[in-house]
Amino acid sequence: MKILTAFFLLGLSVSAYPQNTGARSDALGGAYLGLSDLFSAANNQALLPKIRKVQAGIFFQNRFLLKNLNTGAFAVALPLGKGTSALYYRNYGYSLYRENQIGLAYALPFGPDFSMGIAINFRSLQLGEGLGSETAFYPDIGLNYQISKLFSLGFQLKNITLAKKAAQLNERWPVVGSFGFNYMPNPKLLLLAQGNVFASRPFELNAGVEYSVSDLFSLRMGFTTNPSRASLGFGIKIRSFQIDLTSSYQAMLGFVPSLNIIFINEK
Amino acid sequence: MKNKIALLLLVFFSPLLVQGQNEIGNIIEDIVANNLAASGEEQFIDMNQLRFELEQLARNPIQVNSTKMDIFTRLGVLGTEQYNALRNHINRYGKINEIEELQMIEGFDAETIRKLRPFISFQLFAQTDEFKKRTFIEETKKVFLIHYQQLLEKPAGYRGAEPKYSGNLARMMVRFNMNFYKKWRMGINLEKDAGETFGWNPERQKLGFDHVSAFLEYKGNGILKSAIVGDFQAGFGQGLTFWKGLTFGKSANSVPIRKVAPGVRPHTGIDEVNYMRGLAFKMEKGNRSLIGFVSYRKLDANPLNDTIENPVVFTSILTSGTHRTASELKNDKNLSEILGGADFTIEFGRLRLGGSFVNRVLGGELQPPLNLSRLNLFRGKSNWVGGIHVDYSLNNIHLFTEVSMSKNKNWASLAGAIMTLDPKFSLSVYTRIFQPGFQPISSLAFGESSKNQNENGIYFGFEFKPDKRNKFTGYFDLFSYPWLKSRIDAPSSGSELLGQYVFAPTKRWEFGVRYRYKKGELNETDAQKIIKKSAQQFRLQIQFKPLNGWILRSRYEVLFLKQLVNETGQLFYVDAIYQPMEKPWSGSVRYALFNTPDFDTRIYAYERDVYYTYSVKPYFGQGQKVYLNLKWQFNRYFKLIFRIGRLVYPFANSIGSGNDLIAANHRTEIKIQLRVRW
Repeated sequence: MKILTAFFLLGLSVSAYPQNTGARSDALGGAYLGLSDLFSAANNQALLPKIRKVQAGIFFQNRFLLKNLNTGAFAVALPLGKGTSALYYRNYGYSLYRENQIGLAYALPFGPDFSMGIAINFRSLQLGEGLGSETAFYPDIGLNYQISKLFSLGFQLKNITLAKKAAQLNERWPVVGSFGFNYMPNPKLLLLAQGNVFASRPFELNAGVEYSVSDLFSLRMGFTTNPSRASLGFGIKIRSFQIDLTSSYQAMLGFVPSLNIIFINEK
Repeated sequence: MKNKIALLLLVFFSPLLVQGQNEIGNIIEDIVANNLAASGEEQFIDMNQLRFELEQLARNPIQVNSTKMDIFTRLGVLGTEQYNALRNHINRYGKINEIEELQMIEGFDAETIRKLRPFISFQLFAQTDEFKKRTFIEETKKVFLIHYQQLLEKPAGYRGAEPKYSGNLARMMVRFNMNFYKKWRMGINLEKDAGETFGWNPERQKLGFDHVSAFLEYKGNGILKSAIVGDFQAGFGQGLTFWKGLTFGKSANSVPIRKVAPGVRPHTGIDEVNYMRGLAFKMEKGNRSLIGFVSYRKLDANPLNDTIENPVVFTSILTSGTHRTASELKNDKNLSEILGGADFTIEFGRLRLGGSFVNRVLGGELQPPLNLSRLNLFRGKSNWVGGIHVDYSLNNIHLFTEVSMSKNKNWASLAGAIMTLDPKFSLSVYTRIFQPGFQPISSLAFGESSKNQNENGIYFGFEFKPDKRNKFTGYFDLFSYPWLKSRIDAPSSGSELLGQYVFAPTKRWEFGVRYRYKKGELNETDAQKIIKKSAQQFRLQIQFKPLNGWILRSRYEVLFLKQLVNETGQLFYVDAIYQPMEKPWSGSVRYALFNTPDFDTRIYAYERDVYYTYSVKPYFGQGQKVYLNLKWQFNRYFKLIFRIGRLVYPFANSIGSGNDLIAANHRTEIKIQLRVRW
């Protein structure tokens, strides 16, 4: 409870880091709580148990076509017992300002409807011109509850220990509480919506739609509020590779393209 | 099973029992009211045109098997998913020949069929002359209407030894429409606004009504489909190249955003500005159609130099349509306009391709004041806009696009898709790029601002109906203005989000919730900067039908406006509507209470009104409003319509300003109409 109180009361600034990883969630307006793919490792760990075979993938995102605002990420997921474990790495920025993140996640199903995941993050901030670097550790925790075949709920807290970017700064790694659902009225259609409460930013809503034209090809669109963004994307499956490509649009700053390639071991 | 039989009976006998003139009239009023209630508030929609279209549709019903049926999605009669279910049914089982077949289609309930019934025809019957005749005589052939309205309090403009307004308080209107020799129809509209002179006006060499409008139309079955002499409106493609007349913007009916172009049609509304005068025709042969028109009209314009007798340079074209004061009268019809346009469309199965071109020549030169926000406005005498439009439909996906260019070689484009991804879920996506330099003549394509200029954006709309009782609709629109706009002295951006949920647990009860969130930017003149502005709006509505023919409705709406200071506006009202199927009487009454600090926090609401006067009114200030409508069909031919509305500001000493100032805290308006149909 203390944590929650602190969470709402502390006026913290938020990093420029996007909250989600992966081109698929980018295309769905940044909604990720109900989205099960490799990048659940960094998004909502609770969905990892749905991965029953080894997967590995890379992600690349450029913000507003500016060369210094690149994000690169890499993830591996490995089923372990009843649950699934994952390792991911993410990097953002350039020589004068760089954020790194390494995370280790593990998630377990509790019965057929419920699953829970936890991730430990190691994060660093490197500033150029001899300003040095800082590191921090913090955990994320996620839950997923399948209410019916069509409908599921997700919940997640990021940075529950309120880790700071630097000991002497009053600036913290993003503290976010998210709640959302996914709904599949038919096997071809997936609707997602999610609300995020930030410690230091207005409420944000993400919503998206994914339509699978066939087993191998799907179309996606979505939007985000605060700041307002719209996104369109598609996913294509070629043999063991899942490729997702997205373009998001922010009215003032322009386009954010992103791409990921995931290798899925189907043997 | 019981339901099916009841439905079948209703459908079978409805043409005989209830589908009389009154019923068609009621259906039309319902459709118009729904459209008005759902539409975005700030936009002006000439509902008379819509009403007339529906009356004409009732006379010349649409073939149920044709793709033109998608017009009903735009009118809110059919959901997108219902339309697609209809198309799929036709593709799978062949053409529909009887009305009973409709109820086998998924999502078609008795209410939908009731609303659709007057406007559709079927393959088999359509071929026999007798059926044609029957649908023809269902509607009357001649309609004559007299309208009188006035305020009971006299505003400042009518007072004093030399009143500012040249005419009296009354607003009067006379309309006449008739169909004759099956293929002909004609209409006359005469109107005098409050404050305009009536009778002989020696200065203007004018007798009688200030506004006179008329048309004569021939509707053919051969190559010539339609020929119009007189006043008409036109629209092509998605309205980016040219559209003058009725159209819809963003609304709670969020998915069917594709426009169905009317081509050319007679101008039957009371709009004094958006119409053309001259000749128009439509020809069709096989899969090709050609539309053309020429128009010559005199517009009202603001001259650059007030003192010159016959000005040739103007700063703006006026759109109020009122000619009451000396200055308004001076600008009356002082600028001539010649318009010529054509559209050619060809259909290859599911693909429809068209090109249109419109040319305008003004009698004088248009020179708006030269400042940065007006830099891209049209200047000069002549302009043209040309463009192409494409439509393509797959099974459950409908794609459309239009690209237009104006004389100065600047362009605008739009593209969209309407998709039914699941019987319960439909979605639309729409993007537009309107260059700041694009200079439309009259474009009304879907977008945020009223002019298709200086705007980029992307729009998503959805509709989700998990079952018959629940319905979710909503949209998200993200837009930016790459150039300055009036009241925004920098490139800016904004977004809008709307979500609506309607729950109808039984036939008698309906609950609705709506949320709207809009963000934008605005000049803050005192602080000399541009600030962010946002508005959040919550609406709660309950509707109850206690008895047949009765509707009770109540709404509460609250608006939170956030700009330099934060303000809150509220509106609450109760409606009682009595609209029985076969009684000569009908009526409605409203009591509204509202409290908003100023005009910025105004809240709009649809008001029931007399014929040809549809209104969405802003409620602002601290006050209350009451109105009463009565309609009485006192014999087969005559109908008397009466309305009284009274607005009271208990804490104010006066209402309005300038010539419209009333030195009392109330404002009362009466309207009387007599309609004759035979």
